Amino acid sequence: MCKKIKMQDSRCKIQVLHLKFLLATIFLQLATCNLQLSFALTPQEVLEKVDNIRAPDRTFIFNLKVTVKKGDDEDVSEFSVRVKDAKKSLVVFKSPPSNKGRVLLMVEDNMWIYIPGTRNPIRISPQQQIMGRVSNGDVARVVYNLDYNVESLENEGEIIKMTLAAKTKGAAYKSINLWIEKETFKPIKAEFFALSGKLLKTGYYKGYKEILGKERPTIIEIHDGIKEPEISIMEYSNIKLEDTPDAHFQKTFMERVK
Amino acid sequence: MQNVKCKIKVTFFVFFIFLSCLSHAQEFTYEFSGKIIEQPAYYFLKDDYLLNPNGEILDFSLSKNRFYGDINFNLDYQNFKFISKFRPTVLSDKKDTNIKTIIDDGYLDIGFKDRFFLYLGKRNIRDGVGLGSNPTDFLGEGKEVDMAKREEERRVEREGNYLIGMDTYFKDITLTAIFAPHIKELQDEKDRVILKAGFLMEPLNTDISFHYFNSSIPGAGINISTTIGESLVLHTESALRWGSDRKIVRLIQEGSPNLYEIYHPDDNQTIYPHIAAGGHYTFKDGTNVILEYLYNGDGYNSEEWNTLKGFIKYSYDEYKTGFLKELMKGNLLQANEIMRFRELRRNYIFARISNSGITEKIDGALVFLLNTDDKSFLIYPSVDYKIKGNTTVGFSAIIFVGENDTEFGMTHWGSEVSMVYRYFF
Repeated sequence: MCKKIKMQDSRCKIQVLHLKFLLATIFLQLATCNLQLSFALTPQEVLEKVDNIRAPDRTFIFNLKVTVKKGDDEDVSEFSVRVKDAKKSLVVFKSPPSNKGRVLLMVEDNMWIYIPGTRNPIRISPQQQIMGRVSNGDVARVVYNLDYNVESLENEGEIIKMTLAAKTKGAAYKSINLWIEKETFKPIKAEFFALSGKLLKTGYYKGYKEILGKERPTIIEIHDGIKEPEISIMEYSNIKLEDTPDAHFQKTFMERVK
Repeated sequence: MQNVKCKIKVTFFVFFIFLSCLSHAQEFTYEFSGKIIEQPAYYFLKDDYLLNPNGEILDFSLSKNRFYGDINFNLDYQNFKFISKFRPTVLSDKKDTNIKTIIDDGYLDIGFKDRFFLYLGKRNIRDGVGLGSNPTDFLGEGKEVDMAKREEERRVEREGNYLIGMDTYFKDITLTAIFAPHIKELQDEKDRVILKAGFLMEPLNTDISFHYFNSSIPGAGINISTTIGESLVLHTESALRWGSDRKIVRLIQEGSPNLYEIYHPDDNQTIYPHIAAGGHYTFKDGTNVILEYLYNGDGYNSEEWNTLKGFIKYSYDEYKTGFLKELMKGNLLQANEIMRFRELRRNYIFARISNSGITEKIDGALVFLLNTDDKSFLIYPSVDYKIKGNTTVGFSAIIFVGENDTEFGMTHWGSEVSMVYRYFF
């Protein structure tokens, strides 16, 4: 009798152990699922998937219209952007007339501005904003993985929240919270933070259209985190795979760019 | 000379019209843009100062008005480009009104395989990374600039040189060769040659360029600029010149009157260094601070400056007493020619604080230039207000401060205020 009780007791203990193991396995699987997203992709690869939606390739061109709305005021700026090897960008200002002809060149963390009506191209630091309320990086950099590392991934149902941390000096923000669709990797929303940890702005990816074989966002609506009523709408158009000669991405060439 | 200039202008005009007509062809694209500027200025003239006793030697206008267009017209045809920038200007003061057209650029640029570019015509080449001074801007020497403009704007509105040049681009390297010949009655300077090599050192966030200049005063220069962190850019622009065009004053004999000589030292074997070194830092709120040390190797040292000052003071005092008035007037006229009110001495500090977004519509800057040799300085505040996307209005002032025998204390006016209205199209 006593033996039976002891045997049952030990079976019970084994069952409890099994149960604990099962729970631990499930928990671990869930945790792994959280981090690995069960896609067998590293967090950085997930970010690259997101970037592949934003940018059709490493070398391409596009036009950008930025409308800043504040109350009844509306400022419109237009740019034509050429990207080469993902890390080189050439931004030509098309409007308004007072900014027409300006050229911003980014080669990795090197940045120059050429302003017709002022002197020859000058090197600027990433902190220098020359486009008013839109950061240089917002216009010149279309992908995140060059400037940011993924710090964490969180599963929020059908959505994944990614936390990105700046890894280069050229990064426009200290960190970014990025929400993407789990199935498609489409970016939905992003929060951009300053060095102080202050929320600078929130962006919403909208206007998805079939472009070069993929659904891509053509509008980013940016709500200012500091100046509350201000909204900037960035509209992308004429996205094309087109190469730009290496010579165009040199400081000495900026005056020639039209 | 007037005749030649006139012919050049007519040729340019015909060429311009010809190209305009051709632009109707499909392969042509053209771009027409620019700005119209109205710029009145008012000067607070001094009545009596060392260079102009009783205001009798030189006669300055209290105000000036400059109404001009800054027009760009560019044509593209395959790998040919015609680039022009010219300024029809109406300049008026109390005496008269002058109408002239200044051609900054008017040249043909031919590209080969996106790597080699050959250009021929009149072009305003600007070199250098400095702001307060540009020792490697060899082709800009002696050109007239509008000092009422912001530092970075002055060199753009500047008459070009007739030249032929070639740029060759390799990965992160640019090689340039320019020849600006002496052209009788059109380009007085001796033949000038510039060779340049520019390099980008990507991993170091640094670009560097080497310059060689051959002319009446040969030179060699180097420009370096580098980004440190996310807010700081450091730069240096330096040149060595084999000789100088400076004029030295020498007291030959003390007596009644004192005899002075103004001469060019025959010093083509002397090497003069010219340096601009500094950086700019951008704060989180967008405020940008530039600080530069400027060394002007062929500026006057203390002894030379004291002799020049002695010459001016002596001539001023004697003129006032009426002693050999015409001789003293001649002395003072020569002294006025020597005074450039910029880089006359050797050591300067240049500082500028600016913010391009004080509010969404206001862009302000404050410049400070200190002559550390005699402690005189100038202050230059300016504010630009954006009325619309194509219209801005700006206000600026230049205030000179210093004892009456210092560089900035000897200026013809104590201060200057100006307004500038720009309409962009």
